[in-house]
Amino acid sequence: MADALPRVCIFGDSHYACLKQAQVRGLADLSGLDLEYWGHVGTRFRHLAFRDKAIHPTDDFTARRFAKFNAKGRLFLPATDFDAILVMGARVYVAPTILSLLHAQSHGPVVSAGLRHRMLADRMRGQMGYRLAAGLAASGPRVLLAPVSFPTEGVVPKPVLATAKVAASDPQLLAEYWALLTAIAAEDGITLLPQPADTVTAGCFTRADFAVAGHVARKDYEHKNPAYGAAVLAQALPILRQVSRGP
Amino acid sequence: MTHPYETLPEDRFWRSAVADRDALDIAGLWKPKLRITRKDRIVTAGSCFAQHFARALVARGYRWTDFEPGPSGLTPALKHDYHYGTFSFRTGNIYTPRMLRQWLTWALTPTPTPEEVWEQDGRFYDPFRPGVEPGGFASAAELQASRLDTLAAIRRGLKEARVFVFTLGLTESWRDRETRVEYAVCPGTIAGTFDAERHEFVNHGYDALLADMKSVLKLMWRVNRKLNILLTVSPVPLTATASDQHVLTATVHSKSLLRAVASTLVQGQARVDYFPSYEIITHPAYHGQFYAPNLRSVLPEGVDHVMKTFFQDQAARFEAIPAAPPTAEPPDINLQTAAGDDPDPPEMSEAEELRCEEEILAAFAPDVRNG
Repeated sequence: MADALPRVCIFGDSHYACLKQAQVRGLADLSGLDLEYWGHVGTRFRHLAFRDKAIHPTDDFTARRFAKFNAKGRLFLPATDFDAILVMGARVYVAPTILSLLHAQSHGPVVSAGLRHRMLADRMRGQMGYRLAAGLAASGPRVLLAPVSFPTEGVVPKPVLATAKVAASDPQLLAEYWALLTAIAAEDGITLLPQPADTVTAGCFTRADFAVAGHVARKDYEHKNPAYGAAVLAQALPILRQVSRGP
Repeated sequence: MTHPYETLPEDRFWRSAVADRDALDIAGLWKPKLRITRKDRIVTAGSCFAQHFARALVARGYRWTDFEPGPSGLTPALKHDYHYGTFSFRTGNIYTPRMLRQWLTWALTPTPTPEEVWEQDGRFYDPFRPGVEPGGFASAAELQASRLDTLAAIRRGLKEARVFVFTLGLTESWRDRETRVEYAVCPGTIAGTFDAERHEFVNHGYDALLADMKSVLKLMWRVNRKLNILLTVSPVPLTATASDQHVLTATVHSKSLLRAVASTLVQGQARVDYFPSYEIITHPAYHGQFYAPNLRSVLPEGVDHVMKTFFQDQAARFEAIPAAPPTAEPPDINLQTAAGDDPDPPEMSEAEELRCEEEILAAFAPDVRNG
C-alpha cells in the first residue's frame, strides 16, 4: 500500500517542529502520504550545499545532526527520492523585506513597483534556504515553501508598531507583496505558501494564539505551536495529495 | 630682496615643485580655504567623478551624508542598480551648472517641476535623471512621486550640510527650445525621442556658466548661510561632442571653461573653494598614469591619489588644529530584524540555537526516530 503513496519529505529548520507536533497531536491528517522529516536547527544550514540533485551536509557533524531526526537516518537528502518536498522555514525570511516595504509605505520613501519586485526577489533568492529549495525544485519533485512566519505579536519595536498600523489598515498591501513573492517563487519552480491569513494580526505579526507555549517567558517570538503547523499543513496537504508517486 | 621671486617657497617653482620630483611626490597642490573635519556633514553631487569623493570620505570616517538612502534593507547591488547612495541625492549625474540650478530651483522655490516624462514601451523615464530607475517607472505618477522624494532630500541636505561638494562635468547639453529646460542627456539616447524641431543643443559659454553657478550659490545660501561649497572639475573627457569640434578639443574647451568659472568663484566668494582633482588626473606631470587604456576612465589608483592629496593638504593646512571627533549619526531604523543586510541570517547565539533545538526535540521526542 505504501508503495502507491506519494513520497513526501518535510525539510526545514526548527520551524518544521510545529508541523511534526501538529501531526503527533492529530491536528492534521497526514494519511495518504509516505512521509519523512529531514531537518535541523538553522545554524546548521550554513553547512549545507546542493549538488548532484541532493542537499549534502558539508561536514560529518552536520550530517549526523540531520540524520538523527530522520526515520531512515539519512545523511543527505536526494531530491529524486521524493515526489514532493515541503520546505518549512529553512531560514527563508520574507518578513524583514515586507516590513521594510510597509514602513516605506507609511513613512517614505516612494518605492517604485520595479524596486519592490527586486527587493522581494533579491532578498528571497539570496538566502541559502531558498537556494536549496530552488535546487530541489529543479531536480524533479514538487516543492512547496512556507517561509519563516511573522514574529509573534508583543515584540514591538516602535518603528515596527507604526508599520503594523499601516499594514493593518490596508490589507491589499500585504496581499500584493505575497502575490509578488508567489510569482517570483513560481519562476523558480517553487509553490510558495503565504502565511495563513487567520494566523496574522496587525498586518505583519503572528497572533499570540500560534506562539510556542510560554513564549513571553522564553522570549521566543519566532517559533510557533502545533496549531500553526496545522494551519500550514492545511495549505500544503491539498497540493501534496495531488502529487502522483513517481517510478 | 632684489625681486619678489627670491623669497618664494619651492612649490612656486616648476623645477623644484614638479620637474625634479616623482609625480606621486608632488605636494601642496591644494591650499584649502576651509577646514573640513569629520564632524562636518558633507553632501556630494555632480558628474560621475563625484561618487569617488563620497566613497573616500566614508572610508576615512568623514560624515558624508546620504539624504536619500532609499528604503531600509537595500542590498549593495540594489543600491547600485537603483542609484541610491551614489550621490547624496538620487539625481543621477548632474553634468552642468544649469542642471544643478534647475534641481535647486525645483527643490527650493515654488517653481513646479516640468510635467514632461519620456515614455517608451509602456515604461516612464525621468528626463532629468533617466538612468536612476532600471527599466523605467511603472507610471508617470510613480515617476513624479519619486522625484518629489529627491527634491525633499535636496532641501533637507542643503539645510543640514556644512559642505557641498560639486563636480563640474560638462558645458554641452540638450534643452527644450520653448521652455529652455535642460535635460540630463540628449533625448533618444537612454530614453525619449529626439525631435529636432523641439530639442536643441547648447554649449554653455563662460558667462552663462558663471551666471548659473552664481544663481546656484544664491539659492543654497538662502537656505543655509553657513554652507561651504567645494568645487571640482571632472577629469573624465566627453564621451562624444555635439559641437562641430573634434571631441578632444571640445573636451579641453569644456573643461577649461568650467575650470575658469571655478577659479572666478573661489576668488570672489569666501565660502567657495576648489580642489584640483582635475589637475592631478589630467596634467602631463602625471604622464596619464591615472587613466585606463581608453584614456577616459579614471583608474582606482588615480582616485586614491586624488583623495590622498585631499586629506594630506587638509592636514598640512590645518594640522595645528586638533581634529574634532566624529559625531555619531543617528542609526537608521533597522527593520531587518532577523536577516540584516545579509540575505542569509547571521549565526544564531548559543541561547537561540538552544531554543531551536528544544523545539525540534519537543516535536520528535520521545521517539527521536519517529519521522
